[in-house]
Amino acid sequence: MRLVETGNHVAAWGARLARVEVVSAYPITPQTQVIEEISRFIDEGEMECEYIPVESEHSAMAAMIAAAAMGVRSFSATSAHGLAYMHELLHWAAGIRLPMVMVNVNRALGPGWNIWCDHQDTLAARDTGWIQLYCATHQEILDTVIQAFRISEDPRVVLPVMVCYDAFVMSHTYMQVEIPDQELVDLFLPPFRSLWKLDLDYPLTHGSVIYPDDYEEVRFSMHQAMDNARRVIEEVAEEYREMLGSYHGGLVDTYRMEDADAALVAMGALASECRVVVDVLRERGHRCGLIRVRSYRPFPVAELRELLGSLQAAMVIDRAVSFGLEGPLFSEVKAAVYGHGDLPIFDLITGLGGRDVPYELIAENMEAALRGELAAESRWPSVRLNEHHRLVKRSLEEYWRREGVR
Amino acid sequence: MPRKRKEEREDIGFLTTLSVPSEGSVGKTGTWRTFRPVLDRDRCNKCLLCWIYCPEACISKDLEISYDYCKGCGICAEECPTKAMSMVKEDER
Repeated sequence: MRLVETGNHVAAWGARLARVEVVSAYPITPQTQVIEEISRFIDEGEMECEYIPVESEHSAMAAMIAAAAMGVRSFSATSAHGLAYMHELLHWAAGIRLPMVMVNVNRALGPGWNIWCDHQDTLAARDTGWIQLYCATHQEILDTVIQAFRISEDPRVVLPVMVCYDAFVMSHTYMQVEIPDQELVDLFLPPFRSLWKLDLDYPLTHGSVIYPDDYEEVRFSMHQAMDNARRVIEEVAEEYREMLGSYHGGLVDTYRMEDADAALVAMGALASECRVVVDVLRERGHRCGLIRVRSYRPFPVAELRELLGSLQAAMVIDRAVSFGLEGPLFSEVKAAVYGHGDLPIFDLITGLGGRDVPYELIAENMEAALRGELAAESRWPSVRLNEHHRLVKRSLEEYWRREGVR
Repeated sequence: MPRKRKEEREDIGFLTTLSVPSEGSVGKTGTWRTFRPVLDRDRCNKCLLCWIYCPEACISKDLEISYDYCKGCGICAEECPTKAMSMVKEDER
């Protein structure tokens, strides 16, 4: 079946096809349509699922943990402040090793109340033990939600998975999507069998006190599971291609990298735009390619070494900032290739709070980098003081003068 | 240059923070005790409130107290309606 749908409704279709049994979520722009559509599916009898309306994202994740601890396939969706609010429980879900899938529609964090896209929300949840996959098309959202359950529930992994896609650019735009047959999805994704669950016949509890002699091994097990996930993500993507036809890459997705001697590295919808940049740069005589990071955790270290090792330059696009350092993706790409090649790596921090990033901005900066005009560091190419900023400054200065503050 | 040693770690597999009910899984908690409950069987009316209230299941239904695991919290003495249970300082027994 072919549909023209929003990214959010497509994510709901993914949950439906995965035969999710519990959904616990709290509405937040720009995620709301995901759970609206799921409640419509349930109301109209198209989905056999318990929808738990909760009073906050903290409770949403608590209910997800409870459902998954009962051995039930669980799904949620959130965004920005919702993700921040459930942050503590993200650690609990991963730490007690519960498979579950949550969509996060990438949105900027306030203040400066801002509902538009950047990646600060999920990158700030980097070290919670959740696998993070970033999508660039609507079809990829659908396929990744279904794949995410396989990855999450794989006995070699058993970690929760976050499926991320950009606010509005993807959540609210319509694209054509191929909805696979339920029977095929059922073959690809069998019913969930948990490695442990709360069971009266075999009583146990989870997340209780753990002493210094025992704790490190539990964390190391999570780290090894994340390492195993590298292989599992690739296998699952391949198997999905064989059984259901579509493929969006494994840990990374590449575009025109075969003969490239320079590369752009990006995540999410901006990575789709970078394809246009690659085409434009090639027309201008630069052999440029694109590496789209699909899996941010686990990070594609070996893939980046292999792809970047022989290149002459790379430019990372960061839709987030690690205050006091640089773009987070930039830091990690550099760390991955440390000791494997000596190419200069550049970084653009841009598109924060939903700011439009014209492809020409990336192309110009890449050309400047290739001409050797840029330092290999993070730059903020789209920062400009505008009339709004000047108005704020003028009124502050007036206040300072009146009150003798400065 | 000598070849650098890369850390080799065995795959420790799936491990998480589950706990399964078992006797004394964190050791003999009786050593934590400052006061010990002592039952005066002559005053006891066998109402079993101490058995119900003991949070560590250290009092059996025939009113034997497990001093290996009793932490000396004193709830049994507090709940006892006939004052048959008393708390005695460990070094004054």
